[in-house]
Amino acid sequence: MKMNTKEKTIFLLKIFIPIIIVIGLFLGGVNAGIITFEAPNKIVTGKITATIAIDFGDGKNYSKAITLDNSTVFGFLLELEKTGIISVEKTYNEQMGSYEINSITYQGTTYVHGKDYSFWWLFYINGQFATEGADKIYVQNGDLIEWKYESF
Amino acid sequence: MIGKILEGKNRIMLAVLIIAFGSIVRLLLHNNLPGSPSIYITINGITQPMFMLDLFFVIALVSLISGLLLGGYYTFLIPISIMFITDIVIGNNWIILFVWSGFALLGLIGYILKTKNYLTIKHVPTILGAGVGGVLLYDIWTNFGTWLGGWGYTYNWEGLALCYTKALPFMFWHLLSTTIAITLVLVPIIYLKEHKLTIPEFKIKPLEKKITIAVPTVMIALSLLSVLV
Repeated sequence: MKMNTKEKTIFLLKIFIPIIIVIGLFLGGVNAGIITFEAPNKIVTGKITATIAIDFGDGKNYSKAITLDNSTVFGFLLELEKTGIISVEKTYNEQMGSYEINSITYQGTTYVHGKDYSFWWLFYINGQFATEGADKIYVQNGDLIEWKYESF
Repeated sequence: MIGKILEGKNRIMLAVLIIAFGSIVRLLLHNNLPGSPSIYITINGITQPMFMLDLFFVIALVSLISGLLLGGYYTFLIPISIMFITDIVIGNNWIILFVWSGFALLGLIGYILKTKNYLTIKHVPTILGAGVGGVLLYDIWTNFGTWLGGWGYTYNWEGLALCYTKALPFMFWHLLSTTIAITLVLVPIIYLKEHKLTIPEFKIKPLEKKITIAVPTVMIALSLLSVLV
């Protein structure tokens, strides 16, 4: 069906106005500092002290302050493993480009990630649920890293 | 081959072709996606990547096409079949019913557009708008399921707001990728339909129409039951 000039104009406006609005919102966000091109977690040089707290979901808890050179959340967990308190099974997920926890063993009990599709290892930084991999987030001095074995 | 299938109005063969295509693409791409681009957004005090890449757009596009071109039972059968086949290999998570019903809803949107004869160049903006609306609906629905299931979120307004804030990178990617996919795939199909290709009108019986609407509704109900019970 051929469109007349008016219909063509309305058609093109319906296409281009949303595109212009989206581009405008993006540029406005960049201008306002809401959208940036730098990663929020910059690597901090020097020694960092953070507290790592683990909730095993069955009443057992463990926490320890650890001091490391600039490291990720995952690095702090592996540092705790070196003390022999816990044992961590992990695999590298190529699709996500990061390590995943398979299980954490504490006091002879192994807490498996994804057990019965009901129990999962999640981690929080200063009370905030993390959406990136533990090996992608750099720890700041004084951070509280909470690993929780949660059921849902 | 596609021309012959369309000539023969062979709905089943076309459905099989779409299922095969969608499954193969999803399986091939699922381990080959690039990492998130270095664009970050801060909303609600939370800074996170602006786009988290996944293969939503493949199934979303297939769902819309199923509803637009085939209609009827295939509106939900095709996307659910692809998800079923590929989830055997890739796996899914505990909001599987929310995800599957979300794609069935997208198929239903495509089917509604089909019933209104919107498969024309003149209605491309409407199709794009419906696609965007469908993606938003999908994300609102699946993230509601995530919150309802208690995945690290508290059962209050703050928890709900946090859940949706954390979902924004996925939503932005879904909107961008699906809009591009619709433009690259559906618009040429519509153009060919108006100029060369004959897309048959498959007759949908009244019972089939009712089932087409009922199935996504039942799936939504089952999704809610799966987390509430």
